Amino acid sequence: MMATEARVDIARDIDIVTARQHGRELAGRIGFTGSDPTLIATAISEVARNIIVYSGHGEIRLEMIAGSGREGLLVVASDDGPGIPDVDLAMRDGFSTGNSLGIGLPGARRLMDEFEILSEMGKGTTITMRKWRR
Amino acid sequence: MGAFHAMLSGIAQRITARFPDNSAVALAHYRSFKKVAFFDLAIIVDGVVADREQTIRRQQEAIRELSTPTLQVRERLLILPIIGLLDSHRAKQLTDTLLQAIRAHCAKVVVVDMTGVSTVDSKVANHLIQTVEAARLMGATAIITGLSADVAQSLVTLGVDLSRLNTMGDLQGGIEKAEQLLGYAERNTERARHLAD
Amino acid sequence: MSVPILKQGDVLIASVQAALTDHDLLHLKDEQANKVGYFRTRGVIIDVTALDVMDSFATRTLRNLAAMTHLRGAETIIVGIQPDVAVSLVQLGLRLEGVATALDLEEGLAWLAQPREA
Repeated sequence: MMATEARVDIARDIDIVTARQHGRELAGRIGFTGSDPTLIATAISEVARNIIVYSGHGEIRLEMIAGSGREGLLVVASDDGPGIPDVDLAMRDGFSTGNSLGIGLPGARRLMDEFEILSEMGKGTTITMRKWRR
Repeated sequence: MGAFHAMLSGIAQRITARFPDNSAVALAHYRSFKKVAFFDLAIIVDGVVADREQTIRRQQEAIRELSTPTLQVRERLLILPIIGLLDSHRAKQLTDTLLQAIRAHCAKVVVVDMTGVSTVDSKVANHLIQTVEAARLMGATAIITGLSADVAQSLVTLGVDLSRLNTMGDLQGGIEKAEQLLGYAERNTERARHLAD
Repeated sequence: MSVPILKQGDVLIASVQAALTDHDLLHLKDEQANKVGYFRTRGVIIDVTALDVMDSFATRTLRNLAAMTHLRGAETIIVGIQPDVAVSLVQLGLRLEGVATALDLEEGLAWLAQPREA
């Protein structure tokens, strides 16, 4: 039975590559086609880097999910870092100003269908994303 | 479906070969032919509707795919005629198809003909912009042709900066502009080859 | 894993691999800057044909690389962006403004061969 879930420990920059490769592979098995596996891998890359930059250590969990008659991929990126002081600011789109510094998390949100971010000062941050097959 | 597509492609090539100097006429002939071809296809589809949901969905996808083949008219020039209703999902498929075609044919110019499009919403407008930008990242210039006054107005209302798009009134104008751009590009490839010697 | 940089006349060609880490990218940027100065390079081609993901960090680093190369009197062109990657870049909102792009190595060389105002 093929794995429908994967967990990647995120501590060094090579782990970002591992996480997105797992994401691409799982996306392919779920049946995502076209540019979707790349979009998913890119979103994973963004949130994985966010863990390293702002916390230093965390985990990415990938899971095949189903709902309303279609399959999808769940990505949960969690860390126990200091937390994001101003989530609204972090999620403000650098898109319109062309400032790539602000692109990471808002960018991941644009690539996925669902995106939630929960951050608590001193406790950590959890980002939950989902993408559904059409 | 595969055989039908192959037949369409074969006919497209023969039509193009018959009008090597006049791509717009070739396209017009191809379009007339397709109207007849799709009528036959519609009859086949009716029979299939009695089948299971997934099969229907898959075949509808295939038909939508067929309705927008990319035509290679000249070396390095692709024409993408957009026919029929554009929804967000189909627009995304078109982008993927076009970009794959750019790579497969080493295209430097793509003429996206919107003559067959009567309405656009903000999602489709965004897709159009993104397609143009993605093509540029792959080294291809996109020329949009056939924008009706209504569609152009919608795009402007949706905040699209038309001056950022390469547009020409009609397909013929777009092809001429493309050939201009390609003529310029050909000379540079030659120069590069000389320098490499 | 470092990125091989080849010299072809007064052009440097860097071919990027798929599993490119942040460190590899930063190392490439520094290496490139040194070589451009050392070899009096006229043009730099970054070939990303094998790169399966280009995220905001990669894009930012390559843009900085192009800017640094420009300061040293050479032009940069990125070639080989794959269709999927192109789609993800525009969806992320990264337009790679100010950096030239071409389909492949041959097109990149042709672009560098064009006479250009300094």
